[in-house]
Amino acid sequence: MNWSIYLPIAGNSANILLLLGLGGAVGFLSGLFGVGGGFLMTPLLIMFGIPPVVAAASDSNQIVAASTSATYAHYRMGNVDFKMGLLLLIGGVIGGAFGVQLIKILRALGNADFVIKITYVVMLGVVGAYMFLESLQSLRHKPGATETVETTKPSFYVRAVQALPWQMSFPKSGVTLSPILPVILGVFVGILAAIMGVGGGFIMVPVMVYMLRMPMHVVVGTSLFQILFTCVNVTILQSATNHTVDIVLAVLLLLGSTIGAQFGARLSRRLKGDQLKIILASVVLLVMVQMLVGLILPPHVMLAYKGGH
Amino acid sequence: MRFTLLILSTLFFALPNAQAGAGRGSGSVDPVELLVVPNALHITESFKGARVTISADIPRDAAAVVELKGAALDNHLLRKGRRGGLWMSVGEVNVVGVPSLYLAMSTPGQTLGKGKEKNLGYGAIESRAQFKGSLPKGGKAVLFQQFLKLKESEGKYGLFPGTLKVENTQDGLSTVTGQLRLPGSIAVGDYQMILSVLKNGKVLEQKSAQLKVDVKGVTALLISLARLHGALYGLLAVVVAFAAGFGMGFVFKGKSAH
Repeated sequence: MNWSIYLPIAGNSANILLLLGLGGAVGFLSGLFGVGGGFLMTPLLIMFGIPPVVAAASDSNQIVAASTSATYAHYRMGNVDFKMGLLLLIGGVIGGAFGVQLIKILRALGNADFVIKITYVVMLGVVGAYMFLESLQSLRHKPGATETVETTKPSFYVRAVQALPWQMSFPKSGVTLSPILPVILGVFVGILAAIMGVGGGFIMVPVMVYMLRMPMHVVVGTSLFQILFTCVNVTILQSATNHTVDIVLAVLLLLGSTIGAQFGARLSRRLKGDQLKIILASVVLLVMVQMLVGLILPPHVMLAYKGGH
Repeated sequence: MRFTLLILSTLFFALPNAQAGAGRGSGSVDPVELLVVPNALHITESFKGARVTISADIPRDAAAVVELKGAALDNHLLRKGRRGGLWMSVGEVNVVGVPSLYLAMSTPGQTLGKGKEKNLGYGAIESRAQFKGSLPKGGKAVLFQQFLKLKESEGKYGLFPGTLKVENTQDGLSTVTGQLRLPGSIAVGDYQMILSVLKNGKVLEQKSAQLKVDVKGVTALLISLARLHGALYGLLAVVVAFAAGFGMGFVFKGKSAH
């Protein structure tokens, strides 16, 4: 039986089972951790011969499906803080627009590639290492505990957050803070996401956990809600301006990812917050190491197509 | 008037034959015929590359080279280099005037561009290519080798010496046959299959045939929708994604109650 399919925009053929499997695996991680999975899927697609620009754009399209499926699953479990998600989304859109301009300047200066790769390695390394060590410490000290409770006197950061104006309550997340903070953090993540060309879930999740002090299960659902709208925007923009979304590739990936996301969302309910964090940290660190090795070892082919193909 | 027309028509039919016959020694055999099967490829949903069979009759004591060439293309590339211990893109280079696809095979014992036949193989491509932009330390020669490596990794360039099979026939001719594997990433366009008949490294005769690659069916429809109505295509992609996401959500909704 012929398991090959021609991808019209990528201009290449691929194995159907491989794409379904890839989608399923990344969708599972998406539902489990609340990340879009772009930081995993795009490099994997490039590895299998999909031009980079088509891989990134089509991945955004499949993330729409996976995050719709996973957001819906988390919404039914009461894990989505829409109020917080909207504020982060506003900040993300502003930051994304700023980041795109920044990339344009860097490209004109000729060192965008260096900045993107270094940002990837540094961000993945810092986020992964911090989450890993913090979760490990937490698991060792309080075996069986699900969420950490602040008992010590407030830190400088907590006092600064409490000093911000227009304090409001976010009942779903169980926190009270100024809407300025999620908007600013959204801007920060939006800039990084634009530079790195990803949805930003793997940065957004630690930001929500450590800076907004939201419980892990609500973080997962809310992050997915925010990623969903970011990727809808990216899919339409990429289709209209660059014509790089391959709908056949996206459909195959999303068939796998929507199923995978459901299983991931279910498993996330069974795991404790710290367990989830430590697994995500391990995945992030693995990707960071793989990228770092790619930067250190000489490439097999010394030329690449400008803009993918 | 009739006499002038007669002379003109005689010249018209005689000239191409005279050109084709140039270089052939006395006692040459019938003109070489090149057969390409199939001579048209249609890219559809299940396309994963294709095999093209070539056959031709050549003089018994001659060798043959078959080349498949795509239209000349400008390649905008990024060159990788080491900066501060890390490998990254260090400059842009343009490789101009090289074929989009180049596959060549020959009869056993016949080299491809390494002997006297300098106008065949990669050497011929390099002599016509132009290199612009940030060249590496070794200059154009090193860049061309890197370019070949890139194209060969995609299956778009390849040399297959000795892969044409030769069978002697009764009338002083040899039949050469071979197969070329075209990659799944082959672009739409017209390709030229060229057969060169050689003796002692010198080209005696050349014949060419066309290979047409086009796109059909749903694949063609999607490509034209994406290119001509990008925003509509994007909306369609989002609607499909939403439908799949919610659909799967509903399917799993019942199961999650347990």
